[in-house]
Amino acid sequence: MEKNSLSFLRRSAWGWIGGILLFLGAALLPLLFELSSEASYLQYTAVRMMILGLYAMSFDLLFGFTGIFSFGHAAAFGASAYASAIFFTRFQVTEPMIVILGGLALAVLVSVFVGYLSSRVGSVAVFLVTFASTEVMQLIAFSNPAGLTNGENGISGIKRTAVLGLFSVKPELNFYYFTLLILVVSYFLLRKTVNSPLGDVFQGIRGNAERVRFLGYNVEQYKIVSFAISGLFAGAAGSLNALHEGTVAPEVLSWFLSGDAVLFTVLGGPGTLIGPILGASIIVLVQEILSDFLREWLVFVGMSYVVLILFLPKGLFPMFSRIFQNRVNRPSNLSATTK
Amino acid sequence: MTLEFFFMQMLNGLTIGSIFILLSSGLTIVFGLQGITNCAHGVFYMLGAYLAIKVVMPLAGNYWLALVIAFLFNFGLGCLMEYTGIRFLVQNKREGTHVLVLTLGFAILIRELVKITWGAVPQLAEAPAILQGTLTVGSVTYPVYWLFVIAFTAAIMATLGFLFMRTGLGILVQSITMNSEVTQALGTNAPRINTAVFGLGTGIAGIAGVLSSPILGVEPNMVFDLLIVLFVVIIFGGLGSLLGVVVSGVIVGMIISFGTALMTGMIAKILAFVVMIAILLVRPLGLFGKTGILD
Repeated sequence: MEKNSLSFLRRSAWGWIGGILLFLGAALLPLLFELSSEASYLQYTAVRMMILGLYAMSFDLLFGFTGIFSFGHAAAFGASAYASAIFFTRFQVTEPMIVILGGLALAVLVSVFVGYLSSRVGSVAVFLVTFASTEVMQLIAFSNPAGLTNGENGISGIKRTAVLGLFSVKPELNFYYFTLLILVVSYFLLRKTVNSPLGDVFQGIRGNAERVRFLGYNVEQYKIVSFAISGLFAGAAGSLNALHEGTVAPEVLSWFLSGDAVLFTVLGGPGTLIGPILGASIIVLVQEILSDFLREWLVFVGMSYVVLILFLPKGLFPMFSRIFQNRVNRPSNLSATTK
Repeated sequence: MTLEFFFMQMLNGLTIGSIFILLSSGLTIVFGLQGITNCAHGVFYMLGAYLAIKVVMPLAGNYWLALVIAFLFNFGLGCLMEYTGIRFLVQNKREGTHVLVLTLGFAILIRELVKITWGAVPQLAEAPAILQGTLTVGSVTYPVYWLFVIAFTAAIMATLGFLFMRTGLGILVQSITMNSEVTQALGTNAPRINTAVFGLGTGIAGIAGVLSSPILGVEPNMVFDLLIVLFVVIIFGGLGSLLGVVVSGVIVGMIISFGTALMTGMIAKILAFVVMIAILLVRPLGLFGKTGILD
């Protein structure tokens, strides 16, 4: 790649401008919704996009940056959702921050455990271990231990209350901004992580774990850390989802949801962080539009896995950003297109 | 726990274990050969069963023909999948995770197509006339068909063992497992053998589908139902080891059988998973694994 400090500056500036525009757009979106007659439905869908985007973005740290193909990403999401629900309905904790923190704690705990098991086996066996762990967690949720999870009916009656008694997340609008805030903060934290020395180690593990090991890094520990960080953000998504939907059922631990993380990330572009959010938004949108016509939604899901991985393994986002950069930044055409 | 109960559950465990063994053998050999895991293995298991009850039995009504056709069809489909999809990814030096995504997509796609074509209602096939009825030894009465499944599995595994240990093809497969590049440099068409062995594994999965259709029933969920258990079996036995699959298949079959009888099916599955965790903690290579699982 042709190193040109000026073109790099320009590209990063364009990234900032794009990001700020995106954020402003997202912040102004609810005002636009108010014009429509179905404002609450539109807001509901938009929040869903952001929650699933956060979930997919957390998966990207594992898959796109550390190169771990986990097929049990729903474990952290579901554990957090269940923990939040149990905190709320059993222990009568109504402060959302505590509910979310409780969810995060369990999500990280579960992720560290799954990560520990996964770090002991090779890259392919990780798939088996993560998949099996999540499936077992779902079985546990179904079997209703100590009456905590309420079997296949799940837990309902989770309500949104005021954050720290100040900021009410009850109305749809406030919850929208609450979710947007968490999404943006998470994005910056994750971006910070992947750009830090820790993130370099993660990417080194993806490239060649042996060499990273020869450099003196404990690859297993770094993998567990990657699982934990990724689980933290997936847990945030899970808690938000519990608050948003008001119910938690064993479906939050299903392999469908684990598969969704893969689909969103592969579609949007692994290793881009913003790509998975794009992927999640596209899929939720397509799902909402097509669900009336397309009864067999999963046919589409299966087909997109096959087609995307064969013909578009880098995802949509790199393609978009390349077109964008070529359009606005012709002098650095070469450096933008060759990687 | 009476002695009869014990024998019954032993036989049940052997029967389910047989299905596990047949299904896992293909998975584990392909892993040894190419270092990939085929998430779509259950597809071939399901297609074998559906071919038997929806196509061959209504048309020809011959169980043995169903076994042969299930094998040939799934052999062909497996070869096609390897040749058009997996080989493309492997030769383009894609990450191993891409193969997982590809096969997973294939599995979801075929499962949905089968669901659309034949519905999602579980069905139980009928055992062939010769194999119906029960056999009584002492105080234990047992269905003949289930005993047949055990014997048939033993025969297939013996054939596989002979094929891989004692024939020229088997020697080539072993040498590709050890070092694919050197084997190719010595003039072997390794990709072709990879395709054939992949097809062999999926063909056997088809046979397993036909065999299990009167026992476990036929439904689209077959694609993923046993997958977790199979993963437990191949990790437990040691990835890439045929002998490991036989031993661990029987053990996991016993765990499921006794667990289901004494507690519930759900707890039995959790138990099998707990055993896998214990194995991974004590011995990450599994019972008979050499390399591979650790990369």
